[in-house]
Amino acid sequence: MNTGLILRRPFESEYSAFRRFLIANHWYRMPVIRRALEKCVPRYGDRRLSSPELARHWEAAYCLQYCIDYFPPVPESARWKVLRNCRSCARMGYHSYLFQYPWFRHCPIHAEPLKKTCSLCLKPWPNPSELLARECPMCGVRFNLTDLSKMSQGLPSKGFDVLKALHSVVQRVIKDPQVAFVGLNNEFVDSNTGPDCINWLNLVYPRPANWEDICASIGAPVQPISVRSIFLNQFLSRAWQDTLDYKSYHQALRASRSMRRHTRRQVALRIKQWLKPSGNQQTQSTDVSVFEGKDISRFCYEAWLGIYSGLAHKHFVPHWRYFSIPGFPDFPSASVLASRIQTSFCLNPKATYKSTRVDFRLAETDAKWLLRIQLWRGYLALAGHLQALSDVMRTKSTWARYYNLLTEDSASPWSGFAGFNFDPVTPHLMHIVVLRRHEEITRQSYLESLAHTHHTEEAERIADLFCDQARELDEPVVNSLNKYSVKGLD
Amino acid sequence: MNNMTAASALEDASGFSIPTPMGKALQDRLESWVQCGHTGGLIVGEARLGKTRALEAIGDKLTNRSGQPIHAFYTHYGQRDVETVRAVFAKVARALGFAVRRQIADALLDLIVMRLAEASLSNDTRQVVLMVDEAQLLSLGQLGAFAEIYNELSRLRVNCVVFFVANQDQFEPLGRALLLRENRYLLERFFNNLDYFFGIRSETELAECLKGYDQYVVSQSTQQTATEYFCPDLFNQGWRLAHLAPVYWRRFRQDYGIPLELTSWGMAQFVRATNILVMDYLSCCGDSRDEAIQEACVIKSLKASGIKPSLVQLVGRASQG
Repeated sequence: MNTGLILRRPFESEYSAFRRFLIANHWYRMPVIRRALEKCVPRYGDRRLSSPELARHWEAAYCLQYCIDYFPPVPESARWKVLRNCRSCARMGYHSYLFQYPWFRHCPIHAEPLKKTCSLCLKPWPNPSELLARECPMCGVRFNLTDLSKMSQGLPSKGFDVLKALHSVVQRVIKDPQVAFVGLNNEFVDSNTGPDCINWLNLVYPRPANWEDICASIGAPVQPISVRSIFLNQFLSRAWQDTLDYKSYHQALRASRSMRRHTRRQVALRIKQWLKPSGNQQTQSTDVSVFEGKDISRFCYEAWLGIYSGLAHKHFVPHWRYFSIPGFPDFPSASVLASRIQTSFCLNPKATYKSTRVDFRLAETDAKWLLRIQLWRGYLALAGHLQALSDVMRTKSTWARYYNLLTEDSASPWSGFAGFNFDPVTPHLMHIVVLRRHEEITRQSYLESLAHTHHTEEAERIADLFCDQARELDEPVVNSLNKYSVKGLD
Repeated sequence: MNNMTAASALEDASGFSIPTPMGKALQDRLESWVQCGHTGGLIVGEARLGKTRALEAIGDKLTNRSGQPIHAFYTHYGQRDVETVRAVFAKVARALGFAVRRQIADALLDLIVMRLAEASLSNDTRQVVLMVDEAQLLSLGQLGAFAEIYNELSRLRVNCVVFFVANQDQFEPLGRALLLRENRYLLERFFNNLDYFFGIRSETELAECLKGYDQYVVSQSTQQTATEYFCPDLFNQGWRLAHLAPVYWRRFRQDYGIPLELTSWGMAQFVRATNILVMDYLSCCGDSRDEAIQEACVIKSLKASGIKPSLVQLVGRASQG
């Protein structure tokens, strides 16, 4: 059996690993492959290993025998039932586990949309058991050597640099102790389990105390709320692309306001919908002032304040402690909240309320929704951040500079948010802009960026100068080169 | 070797292997070719010199300049009624561990190329070595099969090095054919480098080989070497088989090397003679200072090893030439 290692690429999924294994052995039928694998791989207890697992074990043994570094692929999880892949990557026999994250809409390598179906045969991407039977030249496994030679050279290394950076960010998020992870069934996912963390569906930041109890008390699966993530995604990606141009940044900021307003309205309507009276409990909203014209982070804070004050109601006293999150901005007592909410919370920006008091009575189901809001907030933050990072790195040749700035902090990119700001990326964005504006970039970072971007031009310029000087001054080669080097660095 | 007697450990030719200076020289030569970026080479030598065993001993010891392993796959070829390219692919595929049934040549080629390409990932230079023994039995068309493997691997950015090992006495017709202009594509790829493989050619080399016996463990339970196990009296007196090299070499040259015009002492004959010497004759010696009886043992074992071909007595030396 071959292993298909020649097609191995970084950050591949287990699906991708199994597919390349089949590409390298497509001359055999599946029963033959399975028999051969079972001969090679020892049994682990009574459990019957699946074919992808067997292939993985065989590859590990092969790598050990031939002194090849073995990188275990990220194992599949339940939410991989629907595969997403880019057509160019599929043609190259590649699929990254990062593609399965919902916040990636485009392939970071080819900038093509991640689709659930093959664009050639229009069928869903084949699952492992269907791979060998699929005849499609894009999503199948029947490739000849000519195809293989193209496949082995097809993916640009720059694309993997982007994937590497994204992988690094994801890993840092996963390992951030301030981040709590929730699985498909509300289970708490231990962030120390490494690649298995792919099972998590959402994250919560900052991680509340007794998070496991909260998850256990909810019971029903947490599902993301279908709020458009256009706000963070598009705003941030546009802003990031124009990071070096302060004017453009402000333009992007202005352009995003309409979106933000739109999104804010949607969120507000959705919240109002959630807070509708249920059963015998009546919601009596007597006075809510109009909230408009403030920034989104303040709106979020205000919204949360109102929600929390609703939670502070006697119906939710038992749950109160769960939401007394240390570090949450300015979280006051219930009485203070009650006074603040009179002027600061709005459910519908179009509505006008004249009363002076707000009294929310939330049913238990609403509390579940509140938790979902919180989950979704974390999801939005990560989605926006990674999407923006992806876009910037794909479009900017100097992405390494931004990435270095981001990774200078020891904590995760949004660990340092303070006050009312729910947007984790903007402070970093501003930091970069300020750095650039005041030219506080260190000499070292400048030289590094130069090495990344103008490498070829510099080399050509040196070569040209070297020829000229050698002709004109008739100096030895080494001297002229040294002279230029010193001058260039100065 | 656990269930094997000590005598069997020596007599079992398939499992017996000692480090030899000739093998080391061959390894150094192949490694230098690989590290210098050559894509092939030819090793020629007379029959029964130990070429195959030396190649097998090299195994995965080849490295690139960074010290990373370069994996070498060994295959050999045999005479066939029909000389086809598919037969070559089938032979190589079997040597690489594939089950060959009725696959067409293209499918076999794919299997071979994939396996070699995967093995090349063990080093940064993406090199892999294929060693083809008994190359004199290949036809020109069949050599083209290796060129195809080489080409396919090049497209996968894998640097394949093919070493051919041939019997010097039989290689001449193929060698002449390779020099023709139309076969230059083979010559340039695989046959630009030539090296000769010899057997034992000096007393120093003989002493090195005998030292191998002194270090060859025949009893795993007691970790005793061949000399210690079969000649305990001599061994306990501090005597080692390598000490016998001067007289051993002198008797060989005097009785066989010069009369039979041997250019070197083949390892097959050497091992046979030394096994007899160690197991049958020296085991009876009790005094390490008695050089006369040791020389007598050498004479008897050399005679018993059949260095002088008996067939000569029947058909005469003229038929050899």
